[in-house]
Amino acid sequence: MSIHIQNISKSFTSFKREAGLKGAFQSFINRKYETFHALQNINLDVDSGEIVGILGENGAGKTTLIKLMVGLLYPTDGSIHIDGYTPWKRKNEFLKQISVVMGQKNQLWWDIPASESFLLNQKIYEIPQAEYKKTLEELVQLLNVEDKLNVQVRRLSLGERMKMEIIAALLHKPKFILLDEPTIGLDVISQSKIREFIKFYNEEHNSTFLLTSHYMNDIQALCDRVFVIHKGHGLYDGNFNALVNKIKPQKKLIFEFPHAPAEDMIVSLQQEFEFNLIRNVVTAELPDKQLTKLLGSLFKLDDPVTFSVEELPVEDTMRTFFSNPEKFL
Amino acid sequence: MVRRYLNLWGSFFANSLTRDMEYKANLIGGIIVDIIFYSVQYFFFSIIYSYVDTLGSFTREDVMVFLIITFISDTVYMFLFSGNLFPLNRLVVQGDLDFMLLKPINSQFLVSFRYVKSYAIFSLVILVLMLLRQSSLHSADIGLMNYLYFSISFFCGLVIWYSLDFLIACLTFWFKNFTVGGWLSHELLKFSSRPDSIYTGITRKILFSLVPMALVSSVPARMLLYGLNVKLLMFQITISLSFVIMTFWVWKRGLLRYESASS
Repeated sequence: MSIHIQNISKSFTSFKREAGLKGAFQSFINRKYETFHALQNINLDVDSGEIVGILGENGAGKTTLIKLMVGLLYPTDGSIHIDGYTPWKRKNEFLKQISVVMGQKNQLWWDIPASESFLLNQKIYEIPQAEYKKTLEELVQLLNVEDKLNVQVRRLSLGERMKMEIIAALLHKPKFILLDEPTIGLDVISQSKIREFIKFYNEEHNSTFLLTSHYMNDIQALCDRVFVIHKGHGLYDGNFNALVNKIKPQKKLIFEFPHAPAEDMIVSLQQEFEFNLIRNVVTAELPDKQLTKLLGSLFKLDDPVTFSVEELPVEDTMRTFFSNPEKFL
Repeated sequence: MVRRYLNLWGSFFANSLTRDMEYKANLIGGIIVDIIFYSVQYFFFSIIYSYVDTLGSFTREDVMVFLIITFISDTVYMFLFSGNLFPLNRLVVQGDLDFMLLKPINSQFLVSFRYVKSYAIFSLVILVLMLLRQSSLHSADIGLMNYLYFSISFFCGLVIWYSLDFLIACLTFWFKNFTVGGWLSHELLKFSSRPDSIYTGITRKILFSLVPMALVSSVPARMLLYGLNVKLLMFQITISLSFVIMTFWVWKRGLLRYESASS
């Protein structure tokens, strides 16, 4: 499914008041409304089969964009076309081709096993029995939850519940899937399993995925392309690694000498490169070219006991980015 | 289309029954509470009405039939809608309507019918048996045709009640948080549990038009006891149709104002 979003804007009106009883009285008598622009002139095109990450701080407008794309909200301005459908018209043919997984909301009935909710979805989506059985078996095996199908949802762990939510969302084989924080609150193993599953499903079915996550590892593992929203504005649309390199092009070098090197040599090197030396271990965070040069110089001083060149943690990089996004773009 | 939606309702019922059966004590307790509630109501009103010979145009034995019809309306309403309309306010305020709007079926249908209070069916069976017994004891000649007119009128009454409740519940789209709507519905219900003939003047006009709660139980009782009153039945059909059409319109308008909730 291809997505075409043009100049989409969404505003909400809410009232504001001062804190305390006095503020409550004043607001009750004379309510002051203000308009909040959640999204402004967003443009985005997504091709069929792509996995695009939507990044932004809390309140940036990511979820609003997702809700507009599935037709839960009506835009204040602009248009969205998904394979020719206008989402907020909520045509059944369109709704049968999309699915949403929200990490913080459940669609499964809490008091009964997930298998009962799946049966209900089978009826709602009019999935033929043979196809339903085949898809369910495939999903259950892939997510490794065979023994949890008949357990009440409220008795499942968060990770198991999320897997069941994903099954419920995919039973009708949607072509366009929106994942809003699908790994929130999960342990690292569950996060990684869900990531692997999404990647596999995308490759297998050529479904289009849009993903929001505060875990940059999710984004790094799944999305070549990201769309960054900042205070309701589209700020960046492109390759995720290119963005990371733009923000912090450095890599981290750890170089361990067998003995503490001569001090004068180190001082001379420190005039050219920025690094730290603690006992006989050199650590540096430098751009690629400089790091290669430094490495060559260190090798000239002595052979290392060990050395490594690592990418900087992407979480840290993105934290730096979101502290002042305009600075980097 | 009708078959598909009937099938869907069947699935909702099966799901609700499965859910209710997960908690045995709650299910059995619910049945007992319902039976106690209707027995107490019946006993209480029987005593009150035993001191009067007529209530409006209803005789004492008419009132007993009317009472059982009121209880049946109440039970059918509980069975079908009570678990759905009252929580609408919470669904809208907390954004839990999201998943319902994403399903490829009519969203008003899903919101109105998704949960069936399955155990109300037991009280319903008992009340229908009581109605048959009370009708057989009645001095009037109550034939099959009376039951047919009663059924049509009863259905219309239920549609009116649902529509009114639904319209009140939808106010939450405009007022953001309108929990008082549930209580308003509850209070309006009291107007349907008294015979229509006790209302006069402006109150009567309101209860037959703007807030047509007088049409919910009294008119079906009249159809059962006194046979077809074409004018009254046509009036009830017109009102029920108008109200149900209004719910379609209000629901669409309400969804335009739906803001979901932040994640």
